[in-house]
Amino acid sequence: MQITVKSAKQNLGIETAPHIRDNMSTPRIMLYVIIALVPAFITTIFFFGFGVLWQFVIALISSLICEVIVAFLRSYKLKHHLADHAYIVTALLLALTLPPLIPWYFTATASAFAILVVKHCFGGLGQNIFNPAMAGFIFLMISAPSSFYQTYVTPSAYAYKIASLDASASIILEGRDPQELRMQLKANLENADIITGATYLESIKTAKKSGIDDQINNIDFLGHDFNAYFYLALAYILGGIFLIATKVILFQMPLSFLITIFIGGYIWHNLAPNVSLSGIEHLLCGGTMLAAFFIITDPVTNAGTSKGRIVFSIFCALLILLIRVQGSYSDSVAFAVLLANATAPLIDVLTKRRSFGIGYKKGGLQ
Amino acid sequence: MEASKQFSKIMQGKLWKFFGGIKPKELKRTQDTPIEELPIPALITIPLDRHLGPDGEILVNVGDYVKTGQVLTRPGGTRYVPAHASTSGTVTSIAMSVLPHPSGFSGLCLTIKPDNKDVCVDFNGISNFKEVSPRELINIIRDRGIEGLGGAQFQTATKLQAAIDEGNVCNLFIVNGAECEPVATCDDRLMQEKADEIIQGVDIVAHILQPKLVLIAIEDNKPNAIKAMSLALQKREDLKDLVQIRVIPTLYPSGAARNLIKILTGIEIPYSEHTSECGIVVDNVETVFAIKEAIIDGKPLIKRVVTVDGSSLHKKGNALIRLGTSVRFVLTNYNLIPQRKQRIILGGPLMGFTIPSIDVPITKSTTCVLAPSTNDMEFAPPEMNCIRCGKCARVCPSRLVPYQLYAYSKAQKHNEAKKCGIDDCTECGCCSFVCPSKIRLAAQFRKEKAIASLIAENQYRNLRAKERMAIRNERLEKEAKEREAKKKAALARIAMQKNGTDDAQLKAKMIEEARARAKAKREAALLKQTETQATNIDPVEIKGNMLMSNAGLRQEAKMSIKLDIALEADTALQENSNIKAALPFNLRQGAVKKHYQGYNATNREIVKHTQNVDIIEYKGVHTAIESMDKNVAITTQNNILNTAKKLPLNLRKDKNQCKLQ
Ligand code: SF4
Ligand code: SF4
Repeated sequence: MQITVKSAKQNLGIETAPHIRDNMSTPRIMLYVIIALVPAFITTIFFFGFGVLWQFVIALISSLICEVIVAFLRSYKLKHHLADHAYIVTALLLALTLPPLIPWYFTATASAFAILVVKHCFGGLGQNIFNPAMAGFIFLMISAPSSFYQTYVTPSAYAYKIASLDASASIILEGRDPQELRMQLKANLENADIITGATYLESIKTAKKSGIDDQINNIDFLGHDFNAYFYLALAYILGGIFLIATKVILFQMPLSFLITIFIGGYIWHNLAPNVSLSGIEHLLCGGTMLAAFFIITDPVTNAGTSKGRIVFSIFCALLILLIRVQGSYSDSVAFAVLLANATAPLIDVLTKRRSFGIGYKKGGLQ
Repeated sequence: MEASKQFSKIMQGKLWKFFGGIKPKELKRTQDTPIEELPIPALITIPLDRHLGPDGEILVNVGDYVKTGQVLTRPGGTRYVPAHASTSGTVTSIAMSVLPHPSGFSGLCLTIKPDNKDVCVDFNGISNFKEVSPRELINIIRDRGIEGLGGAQFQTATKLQAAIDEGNVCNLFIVNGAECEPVATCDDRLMQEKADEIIQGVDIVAHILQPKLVLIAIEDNKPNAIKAMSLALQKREDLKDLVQIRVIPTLYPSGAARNLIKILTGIEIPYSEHTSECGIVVDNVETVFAIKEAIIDGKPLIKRVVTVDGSSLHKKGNALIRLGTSVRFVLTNYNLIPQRKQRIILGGPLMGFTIPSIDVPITKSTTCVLAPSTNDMEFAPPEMNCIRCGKCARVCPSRLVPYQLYAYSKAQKHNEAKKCGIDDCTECGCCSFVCPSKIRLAAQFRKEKAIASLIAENQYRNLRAKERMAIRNERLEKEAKEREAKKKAALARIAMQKNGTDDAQLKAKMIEEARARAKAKREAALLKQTETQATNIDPVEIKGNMLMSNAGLRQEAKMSIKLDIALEADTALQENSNIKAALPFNLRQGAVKKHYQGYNATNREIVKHTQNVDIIEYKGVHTAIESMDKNVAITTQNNILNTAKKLPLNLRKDKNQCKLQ
């Protein structure tokens, strides 16, 4: 039993079955995710100013450098290593979640943390337990809380005119005080005084805590001041639909996630109106929509089977509600996602799929 | 009661769905090209290994003249079928030759130089098969060499026999015309052209099995075949109530027996069960056609329909090919214009394999010969990291989680892989097809299964060796006891002779008793050791120097006059041999040396060294092994390494494969 000389000489191509493959590939999946994020990205620029674009550029450069270092350390072929585009997605998500005016070194550190520690220390793409973007976000939020809160801006229409490329660059890159620009952006609103914090979510939390939430209650998400949230959510949904249509994500995941948040928020609000936001507010504020379509659907860090993924989504949604209402941070998506990530292996075990032929009765067909 | 409800649902035509599955591009370009018979090639090569079995016999000699359809082998046992000459000519050689296998194995083949006259033996058909008993029909089917033509090449007669053996009742006979592999159209064409004959074949099988229902399952992408079969069925009034045609949705792999059963009956038969023992028999349409030819026309299975396709060919189509025709001949007939690194695939694009040589014969399991160009089917792109997207888990028809399996398999965790259900994997290739990172999951599973079977084989061998070892130990013990008794008698005699007094006798007795006690103690200790030792492989002699030490001990024992020393040495020897056997395979030879090298001893010094210390040293090794726990783990790991060389080439490390490319 051996290869004969004759056969070796024929120089035929050898390859393992199957010989045909689906044309969906990992780089393409990542590309679709990037495309799906474009509407949201543009909307964010519109409402938050060009700071987001700078953040993206910084995060991208930082993660690219990190990936190159990793490729060098692990002696991977650079071209092959960078082909998966996953680091672009991470950079985009970071840019969308970090405060738009945060100084560049923070962004660069967060991105480096996400790539080097969260992703590659665990074994690289596909092996990481935690979502890199979310972990990078939290890393910054915990280690530099003050600058974190000082650089968040209040969304308002045409913010990109005020926070122009130059204006935001001078803050992000040159380290000018962001306070002036933030005030300008806030002045853009009609009723700027009812917003006490940077964002609606932050303000309403403060209001509810101190017991004076009448003013800020029942706001109109289509009105001038708050339509940013509405349009942003719309942009995320648009991207999400694109991902669902291209079969990159399962529609069950965002659906079960959003339904849980809405119903959970609705019930909690009705039970304790001065503690919880209403269902719709839960849906539109903070990172809910981003999480629904782009964060919890990250294949790497959630459960394996479809059933497990739905359980994961619901669990994550409940965590978001709980932390948002009871926690001290203004938004909770990142924390909830990381916690849910940690439980994913457990969910995997609990939702183990039955094997083929269970329930078969001896004797078969009678 | 519930089961019969199930049956009535089946009767009514309910279709179920199996989990997973994929929808690749169908590529059925040869659906409308009629089957044409290929001319007689210049050489016919018939692999014999599936036709001989343990004590089979080749009935012809080199130089003999054989006629078409002549029986060439008499297989040993009923598990194999005889081989038949597929054309007339002279037997030119019976020798090793390359087989159609992904690794280019060679095996025993019989070569015929055709005389182009195609002189047939007399075929005795049975016109009225209804008068023949099923058992006889099954024997005829076996003698005519019918095997599954769907690709798996499972012996048909055995399958049918199992279904009607005592205790088993066949309720459902499924004719598999699903042909879910892309590109393949041979079954499709056969159904279009030979519908009447297939129905006749169905009639025969129905006579053998006496099922309550016969279903002919055809995927809905073959409208012509469905039409032809329905027409043929309508002509047969007598079969109307029994036979139904079921159109099933197109989904790969609905043609796999268990998936087809699930679709048609809603029953999932675990992979540990045989389908025939569940009252369901599945046969491919072409097999049914071959059964008809065998029974009614008396023709053995010497030709089959093969789809020949691919962009590197100028002509495409379905060919009726004599078994044993070389792939080269087929490709030449279809005008192959080879590319650089042209791939030739036997079987469909999802489960077929590339062959390293085209000088291999067409066999019963060859459904397609593909010569794809790179436009058709791209070369496999490099693998990327698994992103756990779960696509593979969503398509696996065996309900497995391939990425998990893959991780275990890559990490050599065979037990975990087994627990995850590697045995259920049908190697259908769905997971590899959808994987966005282009990971060769199915290939890894094929490899994993081969390794697992090797391990199982080794374990079996270990077990056997253990048994042998136990027997040997028993024997040694018995011998030692006998020796002891003799010595005692001799001692008593000497004592009697010397002293002759009662007093001395008493003394001798006391000494004897004391010795017996000591011996009992020693034996107890010995027994304990034999129990705990890790006996896995037949005692292998430890290499020269150790042997020498043993021999030295033995000699010493012989030469010594003092009885006690003899006894001592005897025990020592025995202990020694026990320890020797206790060493696991990996520690026997090189490892022992290495062990001593740790003490900075040269080989020659070891001899001296061991004479004094070996027992102690060995005890050390021994306990070390025991504490390492489980000989099996060690030996299997070790055996994998050893047997890696024995693995077929495609199953070895990827490196080798690359080299081949
Ligand atoms: S399809 Fe490929 S990338 Fe996706 S989980 Fe399976 S092995 Fe991993
Ligand atoms: S090759 Fe095995 S693991 Fe992959 S889809 Fe088929 S049965 Fe499942």
